[in-house]
Amino acid sequence: MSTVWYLILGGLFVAYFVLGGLDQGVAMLLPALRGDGERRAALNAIGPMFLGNEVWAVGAAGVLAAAFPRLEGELFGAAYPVVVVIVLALLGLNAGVQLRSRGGGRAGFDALIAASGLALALGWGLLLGVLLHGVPLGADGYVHGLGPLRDPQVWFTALANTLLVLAHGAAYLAWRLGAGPLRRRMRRLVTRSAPVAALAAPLVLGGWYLQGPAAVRNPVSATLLALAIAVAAGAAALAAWVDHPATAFAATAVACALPVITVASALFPGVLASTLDPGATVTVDGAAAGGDTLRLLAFGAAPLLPVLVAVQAACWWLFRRRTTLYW
Amino acid sequence: MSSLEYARLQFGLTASLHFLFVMLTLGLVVLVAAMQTRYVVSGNPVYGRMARFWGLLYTINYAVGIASGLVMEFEIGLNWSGLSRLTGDVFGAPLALETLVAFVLESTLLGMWIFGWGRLGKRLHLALIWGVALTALLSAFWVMVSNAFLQHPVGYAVDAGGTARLTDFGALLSNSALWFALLHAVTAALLTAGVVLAGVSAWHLRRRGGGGGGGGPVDGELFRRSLRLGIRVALIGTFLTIGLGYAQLGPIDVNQPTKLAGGADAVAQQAAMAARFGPGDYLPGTWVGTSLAAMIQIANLLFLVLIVAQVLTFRDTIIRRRWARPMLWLLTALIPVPFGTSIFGWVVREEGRQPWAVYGLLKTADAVSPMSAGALRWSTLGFTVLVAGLALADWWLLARSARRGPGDEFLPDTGTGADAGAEAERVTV
Repeated sequence: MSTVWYLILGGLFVAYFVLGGLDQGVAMLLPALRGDGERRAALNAIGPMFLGNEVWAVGAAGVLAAAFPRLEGELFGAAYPVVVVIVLALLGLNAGVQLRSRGGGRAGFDALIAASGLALALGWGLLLGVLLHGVPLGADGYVHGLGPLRDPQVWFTALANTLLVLAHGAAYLAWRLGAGPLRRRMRRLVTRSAPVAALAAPLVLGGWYLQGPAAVRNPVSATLLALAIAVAAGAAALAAWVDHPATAFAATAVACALPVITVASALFPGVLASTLDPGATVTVDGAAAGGDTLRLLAFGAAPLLPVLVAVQAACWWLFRRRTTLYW
Repeated sequence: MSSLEYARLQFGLTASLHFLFVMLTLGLVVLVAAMQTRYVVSGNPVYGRMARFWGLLYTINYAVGIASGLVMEFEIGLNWSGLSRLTGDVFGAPLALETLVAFVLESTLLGMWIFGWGRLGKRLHLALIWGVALTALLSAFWVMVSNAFLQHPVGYAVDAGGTARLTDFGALLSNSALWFALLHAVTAALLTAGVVLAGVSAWHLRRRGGGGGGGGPVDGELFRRSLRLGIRVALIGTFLTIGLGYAQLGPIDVNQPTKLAGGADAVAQQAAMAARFGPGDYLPGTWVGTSLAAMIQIANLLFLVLIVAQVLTFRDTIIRRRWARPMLWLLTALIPVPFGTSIFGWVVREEGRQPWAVYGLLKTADAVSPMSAGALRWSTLGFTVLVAGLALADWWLLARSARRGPGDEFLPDTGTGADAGAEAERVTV
């Protein structure tokens, strides 16, 4: 049962990294856009999906708290400042996007949106890095100190994730926007940022090889998946270059989904490795809530996930070519 | 300050601010859905304009409401790891159901509703806002299930490892600390939405002078109907909220004997708790009683004012007669009242539960994460500055949009876009 919930948790995080990554990427691009017209065009391109994209983070955090309370407690403790920044950035992004066109102060809101997007892409990447690095979890079950965040390799991992997200946002706009100078610039941005991301993935992988953290239990599958990130990002660059925006967007979506899968498969069946005491490492089973709670969630919440997916799919379909300027 | 005090301050501030948004959101969405239903059924464009105008205020309010709720969800994990360690299994389950079954759908549907005006079929669009309203109410239900467990833990057993495990889900749902409190909160939300509707409409009617004036006859009609609806909903809502408030006193007396105890009873309860759980202070601060008294007094006064306002709506006296004008002014001045009063209510419920995080099971001091006061000071500062800053920005935008009035949607001639507010609102294909 705990493995099933771990898969569901992974699915939620994958959805968030792909869809939320879209919002973060577009948010990060705001300073590169010229004038209010372009910014509104970009924000409204994610408009109808924006709230739907963001809710995956809330859903993932909810499952994390309910089905894996120990993982939540210790991971959040091990990366406290990062989680605080992520929450602040989620707040800034959500409120900023929804409020910026409701009155004055647009420049201020734009800065808030862009900073929040960048902080989110970095922050989620840092959490992935912390998981790979392992945390100073003592035999007493508590995390001691914020050591992992001082490791540059963790920050390189976050940087690579940020590059992927940036390419993802540009690829979405290049696909979604109508023909025009903005769309052309976004396409060019994909052809430039995606190759950098494709290069960053194997570099980060090599860095982790040099460090060889004990947390990584399945190096082979993790290596293959990390290389797949590079392939997907490369494919996105190629597709954008030959002006195939839909393919490029699909490729960046895959590239943004893979980091979560890569890290999870590298650690499995562990999930939160201890750098102090191998015995203190938290496994998927050990982190999971009791059987009754998991069964309750299975009856109460799991049937809803297909409904949610269906509603979101309907949203993408209903608004497939409709642009309303609201934000 | 100790880390416990920082953690409590942080959660108290975030939760209070969050509820100010929830109150309006929860009530207003039901009213917007009702307006839109009337629009779809009758085809009368006034109701369409009403739904759109109040819907705009609703979405502005929602923007920071969702964000502050997110902060709370993370704060529970960050600062209250003792809570998830001991009771996370039981307490976390309804919260997870809230996020997964209700909130996630609510937000997705709302995004579609916002962008769906004039783009989707009328009936589909109407179904979306009802979906938002129903999932919002479902959210309130699950949150209150979690909260009722903190007030009066039921349906669990503590296992050998010292962790509370869920044993009886039905008991969580039939918790005596749940239903009256839930309905009290929902009717309070409806009364809040009613007061806001009436207050904003009264402001416009006072300025525009009923039928004529700057906004034109169409807006006069919109605000006339909104005023009548607002006063009616607020009156009924206040009546029910007061009744459901008193209804909770019985269960509170049984579930939490220390909460409202006073005089000799307080001394006896303190002695009984100390005998059962060891030495310590088991009585909440005196401001719990003060808050309760303030809440009751304010609600009664509000009820009286609303009765008078309701009487004055007969033949639109309140709008047409000069001598009735002060009531319009008073209704606008009343807008902050339900919000402030709701904080008193939460002080009674949450501060009144102290020193317990889970009554009789886990003390607040044992629930807080083992974190340095320094880290908590910074996160408190960060969260408070950002949440409060966004709240202020949000209210400013809300007031601005409310003052500006409706745009020119659904009007026979939408060619000129003379109203400044219309520009931001107009649909561009």
